[in-house]
Amino acid sequence: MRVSFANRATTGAGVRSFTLARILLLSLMSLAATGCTVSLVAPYDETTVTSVTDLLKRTDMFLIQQQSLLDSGQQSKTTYENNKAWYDQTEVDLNAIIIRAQAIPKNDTTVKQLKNLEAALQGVIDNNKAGFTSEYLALERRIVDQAIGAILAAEFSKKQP
Amino acid sequence: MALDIDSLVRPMVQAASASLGKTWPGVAKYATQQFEYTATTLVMIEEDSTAGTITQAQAQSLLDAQKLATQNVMLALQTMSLVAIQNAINAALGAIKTAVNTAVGFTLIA
Repeated sequence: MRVSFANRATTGAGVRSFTLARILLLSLMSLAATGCTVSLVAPYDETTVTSVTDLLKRTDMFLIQQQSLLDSGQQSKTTYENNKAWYDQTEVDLNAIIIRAQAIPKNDTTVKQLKNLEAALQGVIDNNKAGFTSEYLALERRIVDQAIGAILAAEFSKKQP
Repeated sequence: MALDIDSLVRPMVQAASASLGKTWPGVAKYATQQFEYTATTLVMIEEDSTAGTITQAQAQSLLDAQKLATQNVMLALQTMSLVAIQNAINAALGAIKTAVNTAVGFTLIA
């Protein structure tokens, strides 16, 4: 017995395939209307890569310097008050990167990654207020590198061949 | 008993693969690598806590930061998956572009 498209759409598996068919049809209609290729994520953005790479270098340098100061017995130079200017500048820089990323359509995952980085930076600030240790800084640098590396990996994946 | 990396990675991989189901094979390599990073961080936290070189608050903060880093890796995987789907759709459309445009007599698919 031949089952019509309308009848199949009322059965269990039929409802799913009918829904899929509707999505495909709507996608094709949308394509026909725009005449464009499909875009599910924001295009590759060189500025994001450059600014996030700069942030990675600056943060790594900061954490290494703090560790060196502690290891050479200069703890008084690693206080929060001493580092406040660096934190302020870094928060401004990161905020600018986030706002710019938010302005790019279909860039939600990158924005979420940057906000995670912002939260991680807040963790460093809170720890600095309580007092750094060399071992804490070594671990924190390792983790920050992972967090920033993932942002860069996502951005590079958007590069078209 | 001291933690070791392998005994931490195995249950993490099992739990994640069970949770992700059919999606797991596509992300297995990158996700496993990230779980190895996470396990290494946990082992280092345990060693430093035991040695008294980091406080309990620092250990907690480091774990929170590690969770954020892992979340960033999973978000990167999500982006990579979307890019792969996008490229597949565009490649499929590219394959029929000439035939469709010729048939309709104008550039329907750019």
